[in-house]
Amino acid sequence: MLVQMKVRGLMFDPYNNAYIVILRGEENTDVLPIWVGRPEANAISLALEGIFTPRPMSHDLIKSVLDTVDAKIISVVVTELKDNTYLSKTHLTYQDSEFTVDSRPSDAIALALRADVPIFVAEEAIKKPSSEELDRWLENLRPEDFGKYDT
Amino acid sequence: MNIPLKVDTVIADPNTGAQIVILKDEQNLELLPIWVGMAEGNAIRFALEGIISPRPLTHDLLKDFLKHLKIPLEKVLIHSMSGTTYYASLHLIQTPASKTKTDKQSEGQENPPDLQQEPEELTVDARPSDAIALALRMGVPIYVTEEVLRKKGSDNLDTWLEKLKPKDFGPYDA
Repeated sequence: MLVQMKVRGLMFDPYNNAYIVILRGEENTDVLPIWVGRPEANAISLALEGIFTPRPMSHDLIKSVLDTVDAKIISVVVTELKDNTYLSKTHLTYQDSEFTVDSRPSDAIALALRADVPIFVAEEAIKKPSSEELDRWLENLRPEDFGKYDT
Repeated sequence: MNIPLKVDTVIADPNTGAQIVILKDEQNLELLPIWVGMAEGNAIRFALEGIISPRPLTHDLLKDFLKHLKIPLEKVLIHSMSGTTYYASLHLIQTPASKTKTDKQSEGQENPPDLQQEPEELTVDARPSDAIALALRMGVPIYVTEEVLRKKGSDNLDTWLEKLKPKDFGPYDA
């Protein structure tokens, strides 16, 4: 089963020198933290804040290629957690056919925000026990570590 | 006239932390340096060195989209510059969808049998960095207009080159 989630926060993880995108379900029950690289976090942040860059950034380019050929992103789905890596798929329609393309969650989310399409997470991806690393990190979290997107 | 260029190398600019993609023409007579961001520089470097990431990186994803949708990329073109910014375009070939049977039936008439759907060239505005990163992954040529080669900021480059020291060059510069 799929759960629809929204991007609720984006923060810096000083332990891993990476960024974490926080996805949360509509009912605020399920939370999914996804570690992403700096350029991908930047791509997500620009979309969250609605910042318009003078030149198209990489994900803007993907969006404009799809717009130009009249292909549409319909949804993105985080499908599973495998070897500490979340896998996801981007679903597209083009010329009356549907396409599913393997993508990293970071790219998929950056595109979903630009195309204004829903982000889904498969239940099996949520129910995996969180790693020790995550527990340790969560224990050390302070309120000021949270970005302004986390309400 | 458009001139084909090859990506020679990507070097780091020690002054700004930015990366510079060095493009050269086939005779090594013309040189076009383009300043790009860290992420885009890495995307180009990965493609140059043939590094395959276990998961698709952003430009791999764009390539995968085009492959899935069967939209060929013909070439990329660095077509103009304004100030210090270069502008590029992706040139895609799209074959319009042929009418499906249900469409014909709903229209209540047959299409003329000889009506061929001609492939159409579509251009998409892009930064040179993204265009180059994609061109290298898809094995398509990178072109620059003569106008851009003429206008390129050779003054700025000369100043910058004069300040360069051997240690500024990364390991990619053989």
